[in-house]
Amino acid sequence: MTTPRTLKGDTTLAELVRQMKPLDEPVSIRLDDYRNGYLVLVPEDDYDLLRGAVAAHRQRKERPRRTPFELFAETVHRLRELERKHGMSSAEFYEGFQSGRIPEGSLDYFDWRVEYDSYLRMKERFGFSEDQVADAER
Amino acid sequence: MPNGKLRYYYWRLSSALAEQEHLLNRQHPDFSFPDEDDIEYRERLKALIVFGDGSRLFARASLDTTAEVREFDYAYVYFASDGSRIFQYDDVSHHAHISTHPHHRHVGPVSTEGKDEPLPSD
Repeated sequence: MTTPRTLKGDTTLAELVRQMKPLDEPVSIRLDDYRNGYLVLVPEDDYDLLRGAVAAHRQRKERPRRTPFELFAETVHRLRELERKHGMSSAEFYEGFQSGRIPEGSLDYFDWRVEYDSYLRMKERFGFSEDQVADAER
Repeated sequence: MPNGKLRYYYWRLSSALAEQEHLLNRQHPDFSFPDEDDIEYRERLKALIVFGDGSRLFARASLDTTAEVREFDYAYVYFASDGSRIFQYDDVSHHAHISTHPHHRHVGPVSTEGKDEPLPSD
């Protein structure tokens, strides 16, 4: 959304449309008298997105925020669960699945693949380790 | 280390979903859709969308943000209400002969006789 514009109170709708057309971007007008709200004029595609975003925001369940470390610990637990279930390490699975040695078939494999990607990237991005997870749970 | 690209990806997806709210069954216990922190920090999409008619979409994708957000190691599998597969799109690198390799699709129920012939992605 662009920076709100300040227009005179007597600006007509036709004037707003004239200003919006060359911009092809939302025009926002602050309405101090209406709950500090905004009047927003948007192209049709943006309107659908805006309406969807507002609806999504309202429908989103209020979940407790989790830290990156908590998310990493959940990923480690999910990997351990998959390793126990399928009897191999995540590294073995990943190499086997990506090379074609392990065929498609189980939905678990698609899950395992993204969990392992996530695990490797969180380790690199945040410097987390499995030892830290074990320590935190002692 | 906030990543605006992934937040934007999240909001595009959740907004698109909200626009189809009348088709969804969010109350179903299996329905799951991540929050923005999950996508931001884990850099992956993991969702199960349950529709009002009982069909469901299983979605998994790792997200690369080097340039624009790009999905890789992905799978989208759509199931009918009876659990039979309707279609599946994935990029498992098993079918080098497919013109759209590694991207491909499978159509129809999973074969119980071994072969699950892939088709080029469309």
